[in-house]
Amino acid sequence: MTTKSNKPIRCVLVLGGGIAGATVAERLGRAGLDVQWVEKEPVIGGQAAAMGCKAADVCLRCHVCVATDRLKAALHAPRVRLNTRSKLVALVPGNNGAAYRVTLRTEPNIIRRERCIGCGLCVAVCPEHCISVKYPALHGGVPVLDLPLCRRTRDKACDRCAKACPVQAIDWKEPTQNRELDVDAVVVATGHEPFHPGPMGTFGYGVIPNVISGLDAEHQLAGQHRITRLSDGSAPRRVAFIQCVGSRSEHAHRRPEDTNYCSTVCCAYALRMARRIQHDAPDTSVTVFYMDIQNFGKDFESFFAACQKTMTFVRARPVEIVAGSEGAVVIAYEDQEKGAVNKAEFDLVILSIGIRPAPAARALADCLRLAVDQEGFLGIKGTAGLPQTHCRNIFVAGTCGNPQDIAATIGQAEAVCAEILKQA
Amino acid sequence: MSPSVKKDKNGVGVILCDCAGTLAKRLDFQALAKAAAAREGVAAVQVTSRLCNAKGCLQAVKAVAAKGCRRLVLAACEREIFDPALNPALKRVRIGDGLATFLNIREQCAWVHADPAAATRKANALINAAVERAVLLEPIASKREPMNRDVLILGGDLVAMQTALCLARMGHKVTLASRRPDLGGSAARMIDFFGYLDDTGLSDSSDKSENRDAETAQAVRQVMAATMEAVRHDPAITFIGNAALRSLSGDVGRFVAAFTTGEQARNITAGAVALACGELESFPFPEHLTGKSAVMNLAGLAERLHAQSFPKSVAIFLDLAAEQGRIINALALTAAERLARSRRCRVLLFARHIRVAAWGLEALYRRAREAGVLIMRYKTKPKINAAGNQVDIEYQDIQSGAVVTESVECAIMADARLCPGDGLSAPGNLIRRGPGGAAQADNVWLTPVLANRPGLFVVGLARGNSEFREALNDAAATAAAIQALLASGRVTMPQDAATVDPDRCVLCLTCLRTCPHGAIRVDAANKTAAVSAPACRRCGLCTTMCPAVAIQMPRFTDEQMRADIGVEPDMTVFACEHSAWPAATLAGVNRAEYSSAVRLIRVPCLGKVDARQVLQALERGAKNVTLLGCHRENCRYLVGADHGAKRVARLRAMLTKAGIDGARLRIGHLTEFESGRFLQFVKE
Repeated sequence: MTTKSNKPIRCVLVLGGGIAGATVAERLGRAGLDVQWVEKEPVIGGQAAAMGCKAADVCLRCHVCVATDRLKAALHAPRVRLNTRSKLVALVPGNNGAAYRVTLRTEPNIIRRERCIGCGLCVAVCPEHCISVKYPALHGGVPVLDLPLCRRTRDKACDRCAKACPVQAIDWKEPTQNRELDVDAVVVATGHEPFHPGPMGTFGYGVIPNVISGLDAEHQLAGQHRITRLSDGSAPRRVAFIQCVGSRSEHAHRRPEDTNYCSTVCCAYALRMARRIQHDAPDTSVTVFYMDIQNFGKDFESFFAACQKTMTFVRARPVEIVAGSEGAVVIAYEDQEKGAVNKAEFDLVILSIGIRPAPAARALADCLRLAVDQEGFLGIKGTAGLPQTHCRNIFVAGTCGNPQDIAATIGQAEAVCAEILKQA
Repeated sequence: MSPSVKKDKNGVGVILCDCAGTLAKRLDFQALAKAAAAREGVAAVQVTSRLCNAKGCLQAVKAVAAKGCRRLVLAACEREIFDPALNPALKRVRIGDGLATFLNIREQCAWVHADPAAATRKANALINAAVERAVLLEPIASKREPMNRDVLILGGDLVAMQTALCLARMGHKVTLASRRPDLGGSAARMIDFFGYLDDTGLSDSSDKSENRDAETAQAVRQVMAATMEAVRHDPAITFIGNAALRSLSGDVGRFVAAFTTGEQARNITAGAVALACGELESFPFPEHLTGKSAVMNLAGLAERLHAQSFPKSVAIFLDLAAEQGRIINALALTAAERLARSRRCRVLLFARHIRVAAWGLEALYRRAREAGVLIMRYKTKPKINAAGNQVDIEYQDIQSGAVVTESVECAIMADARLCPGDGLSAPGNLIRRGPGGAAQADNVWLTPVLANRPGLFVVGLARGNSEFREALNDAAATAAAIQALLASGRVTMPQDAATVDPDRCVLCLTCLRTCPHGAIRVDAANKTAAVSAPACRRCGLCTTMCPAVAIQMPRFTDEQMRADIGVEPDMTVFACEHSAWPAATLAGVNRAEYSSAVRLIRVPCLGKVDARQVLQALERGAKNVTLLGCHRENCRYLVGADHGAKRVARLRAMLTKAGIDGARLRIGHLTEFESGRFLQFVKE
């Protein structure tokens, strides 16, 4: 896969429109490199754009605002060309001194971002509600079109949105394109997939309405700035967090969907979220079922001490979760100190789900001839700061390489920039 | 229009954008244009449909410029949307920086007020205030400042060396200055315990050789040796050992660091400084264990690891002195595994929590247990007593609740804490510290490697980041950031930093003490405080702290802010441009409805609003005044939100004393994407 030339890096392909990709794209664009930025969805944002601020009386350092800021900055950075609804389909050694020749496949976006003024008229007229605004904090009112829902894909004539648009930003003629590009370096920042507690009903998820995942809670926080019960929309008075759901599973009771590594982010977001819940409603009781509380942030010690004053920490793995009366959830767990099985009732149970490699990562790894570790994360983790790829000028950044929080992801992305700028 | 107005170079041109006609339903553009044209000082009014379109924008700007207008009021949507079109247009008609004022009639009027009359009334009031501000505008010139491309790195450990090598590759001259005599740092002594740096990410112990941790440690040792070798032979890198930092003066682009090496004093100049001088330091042992031969720390263990005779049973203690992080857990677990596996020791590991939040640590934890290490999680601290070659431990078993006693031959107190490099605390260095003495304040906007002073960077342990690979990433990230800052050897920036009026300044040093960025120094020759333009971050905190009113921000002068308040302030909201302002825009995008009495005034930070602005608003008839900004401790300028909160508390008490309802003044904190919180505050 390697080519001999030591041509300076001028053009970089960045795969992934999350925090890592945005940081790399923005920094390299500002440094004067040409960046081709690829995102498979119609808008950038990744996982972090859908998360909520967890500040209580003071900022709790969840870094979601920093992630939003980085994403926004990348959208306005010079020399960054964003390709949405695009995918890398092939990578071969390049010509004319470029390291690689890549083929990008771009599905039609229909709504042309550069023309759209975000007036919202198309959203209002669409009979199928297939046009909506996603991540307005990042993109303003620029909407996206969910093509499978659109009448036109079902061979019906409908151009209400195009007629309503005052600036001709809706272009139905845009074809699916395959483009070939010469690039000097590739940055893989395709992110992760949150662990899905799943159809098997892990801890009653998907079966008992008031058992939600940490990600669901994040989305609630982002959308309505508070956490409520799904069953009746009320504010919970007794909240339980169950840590390590899908993470750190012992071999003996490991199911195929479980992982046996620490996802590193769940203790942090769970405790921050718990603090936020207690800040909004100080009389809410919080119980955390845990194995080990992982430390995070600079001020962990005093933060954790404060948490221990207002929350109950139970070192136990719940054995059973059943629905109680009036939307309550009953957790049975082994009380280690008493050596007996205890039962406790809660209004809301939040499962602290971890990070899993994205299922598409393996296909991408095949395309790029990247090494994949046993868990499906990209690159080889050794004594170097960045996951190693063994392919010249192909770099891995962010959670596609290994689970890490927003701050570490930004750090890693900036480290990738340094590796590239060294050769620029 | 009279010819005199046409020629008037101070004439204000008002450009209104109706957003491709979509705002016409809510705003009466004819009435707005008519009212604006009738205002004193306005020389031309232009209604356009596409300010965000290069052609439309240029047309509109040309039209008002043709009437002699050199100052502009742009009533449209958010500035960032039409900036790409506006900037070239302004350049074409030679209207310089600082001569345009912006107001949002889309997200703040048309989209949030259903009643067209109310929306138009508010838009009119906003335009009036903007015209009043525009009259006061002065052009802001740009100035080119030279930047020293050399870099100084404090520290000599692996991350410091990596930072130096990376920068040298990018073409910078680097000085490494360490208080130790040689390169390597303290981590070099514990290199045997870096076995967790797995080469496959994750694997079962079964398919691994017995010596895998030793092999990995060997790999780390090789990295260390190769790095040292590269540093020694790089002509662009100079190493100074035994260097104690005395002071760090100057600012970004022109730092001067004063060192003493032995008896000698020497100065080093640099454009940027990286602090990589943090180290891990063992906690002192409890008094009754001090001086006991059977009790040692991890460094002591590392020294004895290769000795012929070694105790047959060992207890390792974590979390006794303080909660330990993942790096100490990693070192302790590796030590435990090696002792159990290759020295056939009986190993007990006591900890409150096992910290495995880094890649490879869970696997290490599992390997350690498979090697026979007994992990004891405790709630109450175990009692330890040492006599001769025996250590007695009494602890409560967490499973049975029974009190158990154990005897081992050796106790290892693994707890360590961050030891920031010395010399940083000198008062003139103005480095704001975080918890545990880290050389980086605990603020998310400094992520990953920024310090409070521009041009200063914090790497690895110095900022409390102890994980081996993340610290190496810090090194590279720092190099990238320094390269971005110094690559061209100069910086061109608008002269809109805070300016000090020397006639008013009494050198009370309040500004110097409050500036979170260390951008203010004393100009001894002129007996005045002076602001460094490259180091100033334009938050405006100094302007509100100065008791002599000697400091002004060119884009937010007191006069301009008075104009912003307008003549009918109603419900005045001072909105921080990093949080409340975008949150209000987002509320507009979401088409939320709120009262048209709400007037937003854009400020760079809550720290920029002081008693004068609040009282002016109340004096002009504001029903209430709200300061809306970032969450406390989330301020981009570190302390602005805290200052705002303190100031509001004080002012409320004063207002109440003066017989004015203190509740008319409020403060709220939110993030830029929390439009819901914004609505809560303006609807209350």
